[in-house]
Amino acid sequence: MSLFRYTFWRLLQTIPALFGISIITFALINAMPSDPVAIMLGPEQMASEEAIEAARERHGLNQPVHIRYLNWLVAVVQGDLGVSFYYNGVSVSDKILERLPATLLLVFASFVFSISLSIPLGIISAARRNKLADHIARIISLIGVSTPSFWIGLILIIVFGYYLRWLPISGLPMPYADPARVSGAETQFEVLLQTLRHLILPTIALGTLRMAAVTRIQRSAMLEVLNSGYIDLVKAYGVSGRTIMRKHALKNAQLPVITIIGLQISGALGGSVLIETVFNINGLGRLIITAIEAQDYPLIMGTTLFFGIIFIIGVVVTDIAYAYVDPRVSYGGES
Amino acid sequence: MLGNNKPSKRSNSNSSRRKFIGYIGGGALMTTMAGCLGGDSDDPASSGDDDTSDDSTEDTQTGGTLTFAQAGAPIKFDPIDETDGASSAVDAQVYSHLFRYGEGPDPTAAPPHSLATDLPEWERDGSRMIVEILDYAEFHNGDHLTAEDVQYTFEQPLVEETNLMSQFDIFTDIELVDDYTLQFDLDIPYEGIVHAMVQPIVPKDAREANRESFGLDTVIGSGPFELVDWAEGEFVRFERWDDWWGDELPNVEAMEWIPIEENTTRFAELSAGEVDIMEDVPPQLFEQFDADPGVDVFEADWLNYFYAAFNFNEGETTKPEVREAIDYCFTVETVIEQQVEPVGSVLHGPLPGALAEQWEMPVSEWEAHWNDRDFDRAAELFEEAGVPDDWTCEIVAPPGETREQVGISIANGINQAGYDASMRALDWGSFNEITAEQSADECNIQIVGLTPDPDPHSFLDLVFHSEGALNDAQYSNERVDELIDDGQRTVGFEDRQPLYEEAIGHILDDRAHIPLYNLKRTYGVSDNVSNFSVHPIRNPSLFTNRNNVSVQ
Repeated sequence: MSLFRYTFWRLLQTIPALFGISIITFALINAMPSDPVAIMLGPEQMASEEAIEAARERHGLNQPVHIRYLNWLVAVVQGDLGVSFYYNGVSVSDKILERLPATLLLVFASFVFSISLSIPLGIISAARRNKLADHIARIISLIGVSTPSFWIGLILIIVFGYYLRWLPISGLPMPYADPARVSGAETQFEVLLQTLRHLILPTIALGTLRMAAVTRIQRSAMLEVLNSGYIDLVKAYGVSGRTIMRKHALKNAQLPVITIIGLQISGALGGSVLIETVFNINGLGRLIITAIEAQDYPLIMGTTLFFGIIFIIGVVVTDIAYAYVDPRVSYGGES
Repeated sequence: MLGNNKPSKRSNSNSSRRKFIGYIGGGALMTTMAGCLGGDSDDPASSGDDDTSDDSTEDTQTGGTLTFAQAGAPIKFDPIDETDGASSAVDAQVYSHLFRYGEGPDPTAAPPHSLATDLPEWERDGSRMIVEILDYAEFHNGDHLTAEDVQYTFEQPLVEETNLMSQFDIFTDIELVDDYTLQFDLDIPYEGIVHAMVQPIVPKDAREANRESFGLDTVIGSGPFELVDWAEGEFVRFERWDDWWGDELPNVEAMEWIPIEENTTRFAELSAGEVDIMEDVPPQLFEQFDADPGVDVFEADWLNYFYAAFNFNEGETTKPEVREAIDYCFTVETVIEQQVEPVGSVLHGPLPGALAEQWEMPVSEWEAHWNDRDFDRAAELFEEAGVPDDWTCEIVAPPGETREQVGISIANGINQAGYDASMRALDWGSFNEITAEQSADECNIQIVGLTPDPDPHSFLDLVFHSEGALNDAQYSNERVDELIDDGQRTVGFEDRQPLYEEAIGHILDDRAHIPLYNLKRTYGVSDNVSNFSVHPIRNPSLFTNRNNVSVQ
């Protein structure tokens, strides 16, 4: 099977998964006892019955649940995610696209941070097993995996924003933003610099957990490969340790790392919810929080579906990367 | 001055020592601040914004940009169709109001910044109001503000069935007497309607030209600031409108409001000088304000009322002895001191402190109604009432750390008096469902709060009238109903006050609720800001009839 056909087939398989996500999400939000209209009008306010009914009718909430779901599904198939209750009729798609760049930038930066640190750290740790470098790497990764991202974020804010005042702690201007709309920037280059400065702390906060997890996986994968028979054979031929690492061990040790990186896409998106709140970044994570707090059904459904799509794409890309790295893995059919 | 409107600063040690201690104690500080993620969300939705009492500082400096950190993100600036307090606060800068509050919760002070030239003129025994407006007010687009714009502002919520419709459905007719005079006819006489008329006035023509984009792409008001740019969730930028029709211009030339929801981040931005004023200081951060010489906390009692309401529908709490026994299970002052202060004050009656003071209520008599903790007496009363030994008092509260903690304190007291009690913090949906049913198996006491219009009628009618919209507990007393109804129809403070005083006396005798506390509005303010103050109802107060904030 060709790569193209394999990718196409895998993408087709995502449709039932997305369908399942939408049904579960819709069922869950409708199972909640809260009334979105009561939240819209203020739970402790004295909205009249007429106002409540008018709002319910305006948003189609007076229809049975299954009808609402079918209406939503038909609209989604036509590319319409509906309009937000909370944002006064703004299209959910527009809202997601408006917030997406900040989240993608943050997640991408956190992956660059975590991978660029974790892979060398894991390799060094494995190559110098039970030596000082290994101990340090293991302690760092242990702390990283056991500390919540939002707490790391708050500590970074307190140290670098409150005490040292070295770095900005709030907001994330996009590099393409109009300089007139970005504080402290007059040129596009200055906007880019502001973006990078604003990105540092949230990137560390979001990337630390991933960095630590990948370091641990990389280390154990490397150790497993280094202890295998073919490495002993290569050693017996007198190949240098560095060449063994680079040519014979590293690539073979990447399979579990690729798996964990692929799965961590969903973790990073989930982590962005808290990190965006802590660092006041106007991304999809904060949008989801707003949607849930406001019981904005269309927005919850739209953002959940979107996150589901990104997660599934991550899994598919992981599968493809897997096959690329390991020739034993085929695109289906004969092995 | 009605608000406890002061900057609070509890320590004055010198700054180098403070810095040293700050660094040494960094770990403890981090723990405290890191523990402030999120906020106490039990602030009830406010029905208003704007105006002040004064700060002692008299510095005035014109120019400069003021940066204000909001605790929530505004989403739309159309006063006819909006639901969130963050947007209303923006509206208060951009739009002019028909009336505005003076120092306290009384909008009939007719200050000069309001559009109305004077107090409303009452006719037809209080069921008709004549209001005259200024004939020289203009909108930012140069259009004259006329009575037609005012009429449109009050009629449109009913036409469009927006969230304001319940506030304005008391009007049976709004007629234009001339270009600058309106006649409001009311369904029933009600003086307190003036509070609902502290309403930003929108330009009819501009809004009708494109109703969909009004408040999003087009924001045209008649206030002292123009909204020049905004990005949802990121910032709102204002510039002073130098052609404003008012007597005086704001001192600050421009403002940038940024929403920062996380408390610690908001405080760190204030402390770092990135922000001049921050909204909502959580109790955990008061100590950090004390330790930082560059920032102060400004606070004022907010006009809300938090209470423990007994289930009058069924179960043990329908017995007066049981309600009295529960009162003996805790001392309200102690609980509020431990769980609510410094962001709230204890209450002994169903009106918040500033309103009770304005309405000359016998607050000290109210205080005498409530007992100090006495478990023996509580146990006796429970026994007298025939409460079975296996009874469990179910306490429920909607989300909010403060409410939950108060509920736990009450439950602990009941436990110590020999009965089981459980406190459950519920999401709003579950809470509404359970309190609507009023089953004794699910709810014996509910801990909740409200922030209606600052008129005694609003507070009493909602939760104590047998047909009150928020009387979930199903308290009912015919005499109280009569007094509340009479109070609504009566015109004039002198005649209304005794009716409400008597009604509250009956309510306290019945122990319908145990009044608990009212929250405070709190703001963190940098020392480069002068003339800032906090109003019990409308905030932030940046440019009002009594203060004009400057920034260095």
